[in-house]
Amino acid sequence: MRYRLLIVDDEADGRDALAELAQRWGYEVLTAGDGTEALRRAIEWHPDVLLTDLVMPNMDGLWLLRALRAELPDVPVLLLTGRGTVQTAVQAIKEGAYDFIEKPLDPSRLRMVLERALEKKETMREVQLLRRSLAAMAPGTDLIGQGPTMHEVVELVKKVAASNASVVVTGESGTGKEVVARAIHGLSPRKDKPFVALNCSAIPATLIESELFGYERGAFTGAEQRRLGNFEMAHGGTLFLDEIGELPLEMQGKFLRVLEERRLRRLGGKGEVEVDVRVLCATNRDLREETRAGRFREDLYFRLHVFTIRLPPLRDRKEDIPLLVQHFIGKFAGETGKHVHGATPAAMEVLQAYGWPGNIRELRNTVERAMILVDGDMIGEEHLPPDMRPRGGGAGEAPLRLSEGLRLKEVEKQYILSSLRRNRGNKARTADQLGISEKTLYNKLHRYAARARAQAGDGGPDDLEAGEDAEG
Amino acid sequence: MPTEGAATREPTPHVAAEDAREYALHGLAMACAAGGMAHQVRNPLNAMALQLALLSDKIGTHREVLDACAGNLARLQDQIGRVDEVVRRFVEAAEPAGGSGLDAGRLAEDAAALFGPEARRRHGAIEVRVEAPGLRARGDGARAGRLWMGLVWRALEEAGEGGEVRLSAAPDGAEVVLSLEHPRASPPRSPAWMAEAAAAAARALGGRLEEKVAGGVARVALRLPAEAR
Repeated sequence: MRYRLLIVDDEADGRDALAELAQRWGYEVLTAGDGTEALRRAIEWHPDVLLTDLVMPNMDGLWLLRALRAELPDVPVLLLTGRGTVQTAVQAIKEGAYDFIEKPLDPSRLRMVLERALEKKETMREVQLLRRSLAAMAPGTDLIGQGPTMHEVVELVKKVAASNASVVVTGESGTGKEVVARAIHGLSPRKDKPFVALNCSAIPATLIESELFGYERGAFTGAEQRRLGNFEMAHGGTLFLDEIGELPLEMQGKFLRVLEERRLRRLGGKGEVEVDVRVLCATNRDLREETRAGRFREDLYFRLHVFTIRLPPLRDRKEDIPLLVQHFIGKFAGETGKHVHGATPAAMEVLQAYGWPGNIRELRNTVERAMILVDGDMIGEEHLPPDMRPRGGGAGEAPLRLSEGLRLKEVEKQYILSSLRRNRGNKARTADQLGISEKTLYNKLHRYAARARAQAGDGGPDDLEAGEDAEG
Repeated sequence: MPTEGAATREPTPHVAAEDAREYALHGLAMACAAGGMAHQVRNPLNAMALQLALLSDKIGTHREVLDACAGNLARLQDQIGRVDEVVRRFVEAAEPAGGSGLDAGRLAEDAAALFGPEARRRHGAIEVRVEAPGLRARGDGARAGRLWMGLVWRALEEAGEGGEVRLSAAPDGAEVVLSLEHPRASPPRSPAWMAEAAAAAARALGGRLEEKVAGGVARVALRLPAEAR
């Protein structure tokens, strides 16, 4: 991938030579002749690293540094100067500069400093992502989500975990029912004992009894030695039965007896074996309806339904999609060795606009597929399955996600910058889409840069609010 | 204070006591101008260094050309470094960095490098000897730097046509000694107020200035408290 470098220097000869050199090193380079121009370009272009001269007309390197700290805090800034003093260097570092380099530049040292700055930025980004993932993950579990529905689920998981009660987890296929079961086990006093999962729909009806209860040698043809069933293997811990609604009716009675008596008899066995197992079940069927239809025993239904946790489908918790995407990117980045940091805003809009009939499992597979296709550091729309992308308008028609409580001007700013990014910086196209003149767009971008400058303490000559309606 | 040459001293024609404030004002202005000069010299130097790096990078793909040019490129790089070093020395001499402490050996070497060409123009020379590199003195680095450069200039003036000036930096117990040795006419060419001003500055730095003259040779020692190692 090519990192973006913004070079700021009022000395055109040095600036242009440095730009050419950096391009030869593999950077994507933009240049600016003063701090004001640099701030505007930085806001529009989001460089990975910024290299600026200290002494410049209008807005000097330190002012630019302050403005950038407010607007793009994660962009490392390297200050260059023709006359360095210890005091200036100390001040620059205190203000948040990554490094302070004297002219004439030693190209090999500069290259190394740039690489280190980017490495540090990557590390900081990874730390942030990890922190975000950890914050989004209920402690001690793999449950990810910050929305209200997942918050309720997590709270219930925490409460039921401490008890020994049976729990039925319901939800559409792929919503993470086993993850919830593992979370309950992980937070329970049984967490150091086995967690055994069995998918009832994956086992033929003829084999399910031996799977659950085990068998003795000679119990049937081919039973050459004793085999413990899942109940016994989960002794002291938790048995998770997925798709419990698929358990054959004749097995339901035996299953209930084991739950009630905490004893079981292996197939072909003479004596009974005591088992201490907490049972968690999951289903995507309506068990109450199954009971009414006579396909599920009512007494087992009531025995299991001490607690019910309902998992929402992914389409009802779209606010958690960015966190889940980031989680899976982190997981597959580790497996593939690719340095992918996230999804582009456009790709994320597509992911959030999609209906996800396969829920989190489908999302996981989608991210895994994208990770195979991606060459750069971001998953883009082009890495998503074609049928996921909306026809006609593309991702651009997905709604812009904004936080509550924003001022109207901030909403406008975010919308304009988002449009600009979607159009890859093409101002003419952006202005056209927004229904404003290119001059108005330029004015607005200029004002955002001026505002950032003012926030950095410049004070500036601009009356930021004046002339708001006087755009061309 | 001088121990020889009690005769009345004539002020050098260009630095009379009554003109000292005017010269001080000029010195402050020059210090500031030196900063501007550094900026103006280093920007083209920077462009040259980058162009050179570009050139090396471009011809690096042609092995034979690179081998043929490697020496030239390296010498050009050296010349850029050399000009940059002159600028650094001059700026630091014109406006010594503030803060605590100073590198006595570097100060001595910088003075020798900066005044060397002028000494040679006068058919003389400046030699420097640093006994312990990294030797640091305590106190106001800017003031010590100004005092030292003033003392070296005065030594050069007093040494006259063809005179040799020897500079050294050496440790002496708890002190760092910056020394000058040079011919001194009798009566000396520099006015008495200069020696008095230098002695007062040395005391203000927590040190002292020793001046001895014997056989037409002046030995001046600026003794400053050493930094604890």
